[in-house]
Amino acid sequence: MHLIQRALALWLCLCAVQAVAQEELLLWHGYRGAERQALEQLLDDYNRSQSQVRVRALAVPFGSYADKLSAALPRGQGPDLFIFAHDRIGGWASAGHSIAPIDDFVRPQVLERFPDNLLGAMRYQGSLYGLPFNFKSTALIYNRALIDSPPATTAEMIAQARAHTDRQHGRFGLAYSYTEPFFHGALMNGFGSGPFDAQNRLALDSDTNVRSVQLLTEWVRTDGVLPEEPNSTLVTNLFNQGRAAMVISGPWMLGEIDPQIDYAVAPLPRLSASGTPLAPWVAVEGLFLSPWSDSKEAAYRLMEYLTARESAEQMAIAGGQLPANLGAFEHPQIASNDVAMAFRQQLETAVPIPNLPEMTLLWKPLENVLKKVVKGAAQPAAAMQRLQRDLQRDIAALQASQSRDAGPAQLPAWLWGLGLFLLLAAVTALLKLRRRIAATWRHNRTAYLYILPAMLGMLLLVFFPLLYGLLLSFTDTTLLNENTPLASRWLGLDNYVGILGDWNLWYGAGAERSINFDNFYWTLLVTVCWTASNVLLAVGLALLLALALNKPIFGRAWFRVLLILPWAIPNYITALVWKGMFHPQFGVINQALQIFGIAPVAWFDSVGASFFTGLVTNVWLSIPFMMVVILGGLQSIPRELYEAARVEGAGRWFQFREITLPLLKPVLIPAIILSVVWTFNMFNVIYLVSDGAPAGANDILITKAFRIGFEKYQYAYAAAYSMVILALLFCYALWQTRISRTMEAAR
Amino acid sequence: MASIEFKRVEKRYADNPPTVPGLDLHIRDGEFMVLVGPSGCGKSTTLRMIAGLESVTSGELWIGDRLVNELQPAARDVAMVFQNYALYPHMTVFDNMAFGLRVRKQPASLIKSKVEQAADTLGLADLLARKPGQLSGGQCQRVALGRAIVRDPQVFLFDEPLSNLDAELRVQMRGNIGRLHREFATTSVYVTHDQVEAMTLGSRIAILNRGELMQVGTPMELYNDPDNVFVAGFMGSPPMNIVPVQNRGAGLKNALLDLPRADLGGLAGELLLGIRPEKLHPAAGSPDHWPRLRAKVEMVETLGAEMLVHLGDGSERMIARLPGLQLLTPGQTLELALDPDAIYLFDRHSRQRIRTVQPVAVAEAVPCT
Ligand SMILES: Nc1ncnc2c1ncn2[C@@H]1O[C@H](COP(=O)(O)OP(=O)(O)OP(=O)(O)O)[C@@H](O)[C@H]1O
Ligand SMILES: [Mg+2]
Repeated sequence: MHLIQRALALWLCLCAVQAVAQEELLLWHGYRGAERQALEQLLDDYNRSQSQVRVRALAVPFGSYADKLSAALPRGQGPDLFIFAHDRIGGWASAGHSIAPIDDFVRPQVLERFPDNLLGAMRYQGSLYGLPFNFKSTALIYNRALIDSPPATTAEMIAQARAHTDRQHGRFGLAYSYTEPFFHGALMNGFGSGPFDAQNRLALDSDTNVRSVQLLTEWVRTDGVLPEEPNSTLVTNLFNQGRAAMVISGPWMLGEIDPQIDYAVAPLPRLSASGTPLAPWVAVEGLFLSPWSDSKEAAYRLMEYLTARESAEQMAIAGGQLPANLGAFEHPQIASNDVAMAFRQQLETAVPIPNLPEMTLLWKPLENVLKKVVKGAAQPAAAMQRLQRDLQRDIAALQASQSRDAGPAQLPAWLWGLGLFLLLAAVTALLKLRRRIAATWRHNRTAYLYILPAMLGMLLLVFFPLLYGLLLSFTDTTLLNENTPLASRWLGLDNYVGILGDWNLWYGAGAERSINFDNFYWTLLVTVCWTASNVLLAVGLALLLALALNKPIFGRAWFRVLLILPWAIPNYITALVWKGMFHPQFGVINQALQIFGIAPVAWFDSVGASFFTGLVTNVWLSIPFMMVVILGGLQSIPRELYEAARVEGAGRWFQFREITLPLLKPVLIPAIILSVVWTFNMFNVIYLVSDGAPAGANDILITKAFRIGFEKYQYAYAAAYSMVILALLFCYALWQTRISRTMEAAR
Repeated sequence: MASIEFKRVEKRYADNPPTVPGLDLHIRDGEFMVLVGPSGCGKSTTLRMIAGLESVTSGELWIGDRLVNELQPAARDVAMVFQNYALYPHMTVFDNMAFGLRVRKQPASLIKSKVEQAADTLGLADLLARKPGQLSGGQCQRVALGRAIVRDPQVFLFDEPLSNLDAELRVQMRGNIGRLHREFATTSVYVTHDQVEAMTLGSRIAILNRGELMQVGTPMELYNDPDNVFVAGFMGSPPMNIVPVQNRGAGLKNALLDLPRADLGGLAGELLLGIRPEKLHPAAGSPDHWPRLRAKVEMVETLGAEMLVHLGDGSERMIARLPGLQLLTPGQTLELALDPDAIYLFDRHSRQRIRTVQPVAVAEAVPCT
């Protein structure tokens, strides 16, 4: 009896232990390579060192990591804890259900591991949302063969840079992606408080921010030490070729530096005017807690473990990270690493990127303004004031969506009515037609079974998103309120009124008057011009080429292959190649122009030139298809028709007009219809080549919709925009079926 | 209207042996010249050279008093009817017919009257608004003819225009074309490989073989007086019987025949003898002095009023066209008489006609054994 009781007790104990041991933690991260290995090693050690918790790590592909988190977290399907950059904290915290504060768990002595600015990055509205894990900021990277000692002040930096600048030979003293706000942050923070004031209100037009832009303009336009149209690839290339003496970049660039180059890293210099140091933005990766986790306590303990000094050392040595636990920098192997120590030193003055949700709205518009100003197309003060106004409006839109409680908390009655009506209509239709439905089902059962997967696929992949988009377009969903119930977001037709009823075609007045490129009708005009000019040119050129290749000219087979080749290359690659060729300073097009004594063209500065870049790229991309189609059409025209026409006395032009064109119609018209739709929605070329430059003037509807959705985070407005695009294309489709039907009848 | 003259015209495609090795041919003004010959002999090529659709490699080609070697088709003022009609599928019958006039920028009223007139002639008046896809083959062919005649050109060219039609329509269209030629008397060149068409339509016929002109002449000249074995064998259906014979100095002999004759001394030993099937008559009732031949009946094709009797065994074969009166059974031996005036002799090697001697001396004709 005793024995049995004991056995039972033992068994229960074992069960309990097992239950505890089964506590499992899921950790998501976006690491690859050495970082991933170092992290997994740490987790293995952790799993071995204790038996209560098992940690499982999931490496999410970096490209889709953010989307996956945003999709999974609010629905409670995500991990227990995850590693991510800190700048989304504000957005997640405001949206709710995405991230949990750790104030309840955190032990004060743990916080002593981190410097204040990194901890500050983890705080939003008074709550601590995670422990900092590592940090990345920019610093000055210089070529030791050219620069003896790094500059201490900006004046020194520019003086040294000037000595190493030789624009004729494409040499620059300084290079960095100065039009990207992330890089310009160093100046804004150096002058003042950055884009937001102490009360976290947007202050882009503040005196200090304007001065930061003025200084940049001076560097670019007066001192001329910086290359035009910079981007990270260009900066890296210049540095690797020894044609840039100094660059401003972050630890991510180190792996790409040519081993031949002897480089060193130093903190950014101080501003000569005020003596305050340039303060680059730092991105902090943190360990964050999901509000849905059942093991918050355990998850927090894992955070402590991962940020402990030994772990930090391992992540630094094996993973190459700059750990947020600064104690790790005392490890001899790290302390002797000059590069790591330089970034560590830069951290003293670095400022975390604001984690306010509004910050996400700022990147693209600020970049547009910087691009414009450094080209002299706008004055710093005026441009920043206008940007401030525009952004305030966008922010107000976001905040309004978040704080709107006054609105109807219920979906409008008519929506239910409509739903009910549609349901009833469907049911009556089904009842009425049930005989016929049953009959056709019986007759064509196999056929229906065959198309069933496709129908399900269509339903899931086309109709459902479409319906969802339609619903979304009647709400005011934004980044900040996407997790609230639909009813509380219901808005009605306001988005459509906002799009179609916006007749603010101009900015300013009098001599300052300029076109409002954000206006729907301007974008529509651009889209129509874009589509028409592309289709016209592509079809025209393809027709010419096809006519030439239809003649028995020398080397025709090779020409055909050559001309079809562009088709075999993914279009985004072609687009990027063209973008490179249009680079004002380094692109072959301007270099070729200069060989012929023509002044280089600033391709992305004016509406026309920028339009032209997209046009050329897209025509290049469309010609092969068109040419193949037209060649096929040409070859199906019997030769006797031309012989008959020649005997009748018709010249070439007459033959072309009276025989070739009409007989090509059956292939030309479908090709044109297709090409119109493709071009109308040709996202890649616009986005990758001109990127809508200047300042969104060359955006077409689809890229504009993308920007509204994913740069301004006004999801509902973007959905409404997409619905308008859909409606336009639908009208076009109706019109073209009528055209082709009359054509059919005429045959 | 104009004559057409080929002077040593040669046509080569690339490095191939010449398709037309050197043609001399005069087509008279207003004549209906038919080009016949086996498939691939260069008829179409010759015709297309006249149209200007093929270039002339060497030699001279004249239309009227113009050397046209280098002239574009448009400048030659010829009209062509193609084998598969070559109608413009997207145009109405009216527009198809008006095409050449529109090219020449004629006034609309003139075009209308000319097209309607041509349509009346060809019985197309009701079809003017249709498109080629809504027409029958014969109607298409008439539209193609109409397109040629509205322009009133100097020369009509036809490239096997009737070969896509069924037999009955072909006869009817043949009539149409003949009537048109009589009406307009325009110089016409007509390519066919149907000898009935050639015989019925042609003012003269030119027979081509491998690009070489074999003989030109009126249908009856070619039929009755062929210059060579090829022409003799080409004209007539069934064709002329041509059998090899031995010249023994004193007569001609082979397995079927034995024709005694005194003065053939100048000729080679091996000859070819030709006689048309209808020139073989039943022995009974033929003049006694006609040479006879006896041969086994191999097969009989009965055509009603007449029959074709295939004769011979082994190597030598002949066909006789006899009145369909008697009953013949295969295997039976038949005795026939040869019309001595209708016997032709050809050189075995050059295959040319031997005109120097009359093969059979009438008085000395003796039946073979
Ligand atoms: N473009 C060409 N290149 C090379 N050879 C050609 C070409 N056109 C025709 N030929 C050759 O020239 C010869 C004559 O062709 P043509 O078309 O004149 O014959 P045809 O007499 O009209 O025959 P058919 O009765 O079959 O129409 C043929 O052997 C043909 O293969
Ligand atoms: Mg032919």
